[in-house]
Amino acid sequence: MLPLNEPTTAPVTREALTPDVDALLNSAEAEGVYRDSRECGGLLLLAGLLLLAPPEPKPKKG
Amino acid sequence: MSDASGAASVLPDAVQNIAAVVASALAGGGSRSSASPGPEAAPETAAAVSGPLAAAVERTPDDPVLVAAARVLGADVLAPALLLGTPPDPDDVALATAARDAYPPGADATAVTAWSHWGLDAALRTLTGDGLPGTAPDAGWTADEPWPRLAFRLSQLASLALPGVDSALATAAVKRPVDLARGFVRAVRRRDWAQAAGLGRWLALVPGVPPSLGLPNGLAFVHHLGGASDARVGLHVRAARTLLEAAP
Repeated sequence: MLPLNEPTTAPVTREALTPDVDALLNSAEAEGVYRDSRECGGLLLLAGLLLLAPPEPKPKKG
Repeated sequence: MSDASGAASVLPDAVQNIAAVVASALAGGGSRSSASPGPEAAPETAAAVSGPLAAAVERTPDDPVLVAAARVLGADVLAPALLLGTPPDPDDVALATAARDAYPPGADATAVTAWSHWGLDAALRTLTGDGLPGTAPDAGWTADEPWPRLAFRLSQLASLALPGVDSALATAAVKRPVDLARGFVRAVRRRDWAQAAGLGRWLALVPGVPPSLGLPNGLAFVHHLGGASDARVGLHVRAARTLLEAAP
């Protein structure tokens, strides 16, 4: 039977932290986040065409 | 949870916490007339925290996570004393010393690891006058690197952009201000706020920066968009502003 007061996590040591220190110091360059102006322009054109499109003809009565 | 995974989860947060406290100390230590009120609101509030870093982040001075976080920040642990000319807190000097001694660079250390360690040691020597200058790491790569790579590397080492801490890196930065300015613009266009803030700090230190860059406005933009999510962005921007305010 395990003792009830046994700690569930080991204390953090310098040895355990060393890889994380190195990783934080030598982080890779972040991927660029660009706004694609052509894509934005295409979406704007599509939205404009939808707004300017004539309404569908209503069915004639009779 | 394993030991390593536990460490990995707490260290980035500890780095952010210390960076926020250092940025706050920089914000509260001098003239803030040029600070914009919006993005500065959070750091100014935290500036009420004074005293040792350990107390400010509610950790014991010998906490391994605190020491590791101080090693990641490097010379920036002592940035308020170096940039504002205020006496360093003895407990912060002890923390920086512990960080320097606990994580010496190995024989196969990268340039960033070696230079950040050298910078921490140089900052300690500048403030305390103790110890002999260590052998500086190789800086030959700064002459050969294409400008995007040079800019990224120097942004990782922005903690060495300090007055009174002369280094071969600072000499290299002085030689290539236009390349750093290109890197700043590239980083902003990539929305890489950490890199932009680090380069902005170097650009605030070196002469010959093209006025057309609009560095003060660029720094405000970087802080506005990147400062809220990354305290190190706020730290570098605040350090850059302090350097610009002190420039002749």
